[in-house]
Amino acid sequence: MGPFATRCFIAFDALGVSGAVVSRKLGRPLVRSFASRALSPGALNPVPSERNIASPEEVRRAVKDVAESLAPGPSRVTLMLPDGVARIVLLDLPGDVNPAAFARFRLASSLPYPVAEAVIDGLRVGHGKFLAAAVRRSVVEEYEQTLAATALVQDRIDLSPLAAVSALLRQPVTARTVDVILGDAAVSMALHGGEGLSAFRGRRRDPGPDEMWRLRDEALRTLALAGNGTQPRIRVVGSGAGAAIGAFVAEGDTAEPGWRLDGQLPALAGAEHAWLGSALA
Amino acid sequence: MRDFSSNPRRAGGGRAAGVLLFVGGLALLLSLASLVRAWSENRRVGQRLQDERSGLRGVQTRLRSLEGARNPDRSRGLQAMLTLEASPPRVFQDLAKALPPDVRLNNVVLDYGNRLDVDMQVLARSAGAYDAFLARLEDGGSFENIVPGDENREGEVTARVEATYKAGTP
Repeated sequence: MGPFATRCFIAFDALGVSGAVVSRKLGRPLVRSFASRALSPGALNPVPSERNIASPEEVRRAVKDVAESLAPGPSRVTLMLPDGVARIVLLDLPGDVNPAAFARFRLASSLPYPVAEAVIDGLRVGHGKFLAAAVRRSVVEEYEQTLAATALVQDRIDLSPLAAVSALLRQPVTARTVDVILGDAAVSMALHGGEGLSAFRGRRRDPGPDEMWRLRDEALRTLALAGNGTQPRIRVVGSGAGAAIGAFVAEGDTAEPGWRLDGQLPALAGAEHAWLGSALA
Repeated sequence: MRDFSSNPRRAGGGRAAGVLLFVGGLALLLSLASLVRAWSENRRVGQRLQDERSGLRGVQTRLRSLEGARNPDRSRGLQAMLTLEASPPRVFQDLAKALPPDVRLNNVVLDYGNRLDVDMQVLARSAGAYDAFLARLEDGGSFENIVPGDENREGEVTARVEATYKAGTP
């Protein structure tokens, strides 16, 4: 797809389905339309190895509603899978290897299902590193089947955390920056060192009044584990980004949204949707 | 562009794809013929190798039992000393030093007797990586009597490697 093409995205997460049609204007991404539909609790649970969609009919209806709200848009769509469905690992690539094949080799013994059932791909992040992700094929198929009720045709499937990292890497980033990428059910943290991305961690979210403080502790721990001191610059995107930034700033941290889409669509708080990274990258 | 689809879409090449398919099919037929020849030769050699190895193992086992019978106290003393000088964490540390990034160990058995025999099930992404592992094992100075065992080189290399740990190496 060319750099000037209009692209359509449908994104899934535990709390809802959302989508956007994005094109480019003067080289910058322009969100032409955006829509979202809430899901009832438990309808969709992003996990790596078990069934994700407990209420297929409800999720299909939400996808159909979002697709119709986005019209007129292109017929080919990129599906964005939520954080929590994939095992994601940062790998050092040895010399001239095929990154996906190398990732398959390295991830084989650590997946909770046979590696033959895994769809593996990833993102080159510079300095000979590869952010590899594995998703169980049966899980991918569940999401693919939700397009059945629409006129949309699947173009490709991407993962929200990888899309976010991809977009965040395109911006100027200094060492000791921690990117916090929030999904409804899981959170990922990417640490930038002197030579690009130096660590990547993921965990389930634990919603509650103290969650943002725990997330801050986790971010500081990520920084300390890499031996980079305790004063990070934190960039946040995803579900609850505004609340997280408020909590971090209240503690004296330097925290900001990972990106801004100010003035494009009044209903769209861009940094609250990690999957939009796929449109920005 | 990355794609996690269960059936990733491939860019269509139309006529060019058809020609490539034909040429590929022809090449496949030719390579199948030579594969059959190579396979039967490989099987014959493999059987001979297996027979030789069985004989060698029998002799080694007999030799060890004779040594043990000659002096059981000395044998137990050696075993205790080995456990101290070649503790499992230390052996694994030395093994880790020899592992290239695209080789992993699926199974390791440490056999403490008069000497410490290490039996490894190795999985390497390529023949080159496996060879590099053997070279590093030899050059590292911590292992000797390195005997590469049964191998399967279909794509990834799975192999069995036996070695003796040199206790007391710095």
